Amino acid sequence: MRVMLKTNKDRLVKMAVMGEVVHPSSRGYTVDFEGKPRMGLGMSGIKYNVTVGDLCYGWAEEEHMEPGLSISNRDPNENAALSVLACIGNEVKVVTGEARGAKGYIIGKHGNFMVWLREEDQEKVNIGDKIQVKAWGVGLKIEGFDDVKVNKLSPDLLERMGITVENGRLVVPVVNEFPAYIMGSGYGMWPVTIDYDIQTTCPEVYDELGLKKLRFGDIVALRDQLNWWGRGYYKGAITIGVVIHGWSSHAGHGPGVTTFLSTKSDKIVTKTDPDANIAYYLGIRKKFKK
Amino acid sequence: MIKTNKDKLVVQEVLGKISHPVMIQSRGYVITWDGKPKIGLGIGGIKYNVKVGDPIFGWPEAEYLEPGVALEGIDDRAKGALLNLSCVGNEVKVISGEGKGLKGVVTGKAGYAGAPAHVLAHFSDEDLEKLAIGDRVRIKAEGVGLEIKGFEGKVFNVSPSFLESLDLELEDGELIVPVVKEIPAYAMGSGVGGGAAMSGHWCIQTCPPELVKELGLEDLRIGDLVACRDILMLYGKGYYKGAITVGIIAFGASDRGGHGAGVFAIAVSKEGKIRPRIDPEANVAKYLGLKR
Repeated sequence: MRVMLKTNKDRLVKMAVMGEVVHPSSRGYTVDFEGKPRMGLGMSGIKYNVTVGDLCYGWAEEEHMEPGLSISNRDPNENAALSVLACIGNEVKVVTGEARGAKGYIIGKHGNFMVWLREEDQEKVNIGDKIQVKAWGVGLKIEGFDDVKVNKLSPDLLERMGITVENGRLVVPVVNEFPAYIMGSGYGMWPVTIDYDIQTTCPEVYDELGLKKLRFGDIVALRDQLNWWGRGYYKGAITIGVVIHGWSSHAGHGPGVTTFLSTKSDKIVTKTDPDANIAYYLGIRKKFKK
Repeated sequence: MIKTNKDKLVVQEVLGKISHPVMIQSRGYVITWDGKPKIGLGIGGIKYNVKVGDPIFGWPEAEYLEPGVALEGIDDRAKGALLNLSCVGNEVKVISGEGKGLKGVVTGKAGYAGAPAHVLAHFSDEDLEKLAIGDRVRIKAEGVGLEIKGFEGKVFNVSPSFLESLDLELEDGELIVPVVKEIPAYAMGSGVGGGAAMSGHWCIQTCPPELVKELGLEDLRIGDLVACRDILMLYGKGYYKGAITVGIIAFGASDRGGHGAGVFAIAVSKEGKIRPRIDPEANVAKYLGLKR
């Protein structure tokens, strides 16, 4: 029997946190997994032609490409609050500059948060403009699923992800699933403030796992991975997350995943859906395949 | 017997100083994989009763327990040279304080982004009593650029004399290396995506307990040689099917999710041209002939 999700969203504090659009930086060449020098562009700034829903793979000289606008807060204490409190799917509003009043969404958390705005609004944004986030989601729980930890996910987005309850389990639509051994940089870190990467180091393996087809915003499942008070291997565990940044040629790096749901139990099952992407769920893009 | 280019290597002095212990969390507790608070002692300083060859498990409240004396750079510029150039087997000489003139030896290297970088040194029990935090040491750094003739892989972090003490063999281009255990890629945790092989470690996950049991990690010791399958520690640290990296366990276990005993690389082949030979005694303490 299918049942809609019930959550404690009415009890969650909704509060403002602020970031500003950050400038890209570059320190010359970095060395890839086989010793070749690479430029490595893609982090921070404003990307006019890369956004959520686009393919991660194939951007020239890309390295951890962040789609849309990248924001953070220059004050370390304030940035810590922004990092912890803001969630994927939260509403944002530009509060300074020519684009003042424009609204959009948080679409990822790397070091920076990534933000989607309408194309015409993004044209008006300048680096340094301030963007306020209506942070909402810390403490979110799904009723009847105490052993499924929820992380970094706005209640609105959770409700739009097409998740159903069948036979006492959450059925989550995902684009693809990945085994534990392929998880890379960000391993061992705190799921609340940083993503971790699906490694795109070994060509044989990234072809086998279909990594070239991944899109920014895709919902994916990570097998034998537990993302609770840290992140690591746990046999039989499963973690659901969203792809938030692009490919890497550095050993142990690749498209980043912000993790949403994680359990040691058998309370999460997946079903394959090529449209399981937050761009579709947030009403930014239409379905990819029809 | 293997042949190397040891006669061509630069031998140079790098300076270090004895570090102070540091806490992973400066205020409060670290949180374990299953949500429990823990103090997390073990990084930095002088350990009077923990040495290379001791078990990675069983030390209360310990995280990343570093054996012996943990050395750090004398300043921000010098610390990179200390970490990159020092090699296991290099001589360490105390050049200030009560222990001036005493000699020890490099046994390991630890550190990656977010954690302090340390070169780990062994001194005898008697000599440890004369050392103090802040004392300066000089290391005769030798080993960077070391190559084994006929082996297409790379060698890191070992002095020529230490490498020779391992009794390596080369058969049809395949290097035969003694190790206590083989570790599958899925057991490798924090440190993935980290920098080049000569700087920093990669953890063998030592939690949850089910994983430790499944892989039989209970008896691992600090200083053990291990072979990591499908693991490439070279120009970075990542998964590469068929690759093999032999490394040394630098420090003790962890209960934080995704963390564990840190391994630094000593021999790497992207093409898998390393054949591990299981030897339960394959430990740095044995090869260096260390005494307590």
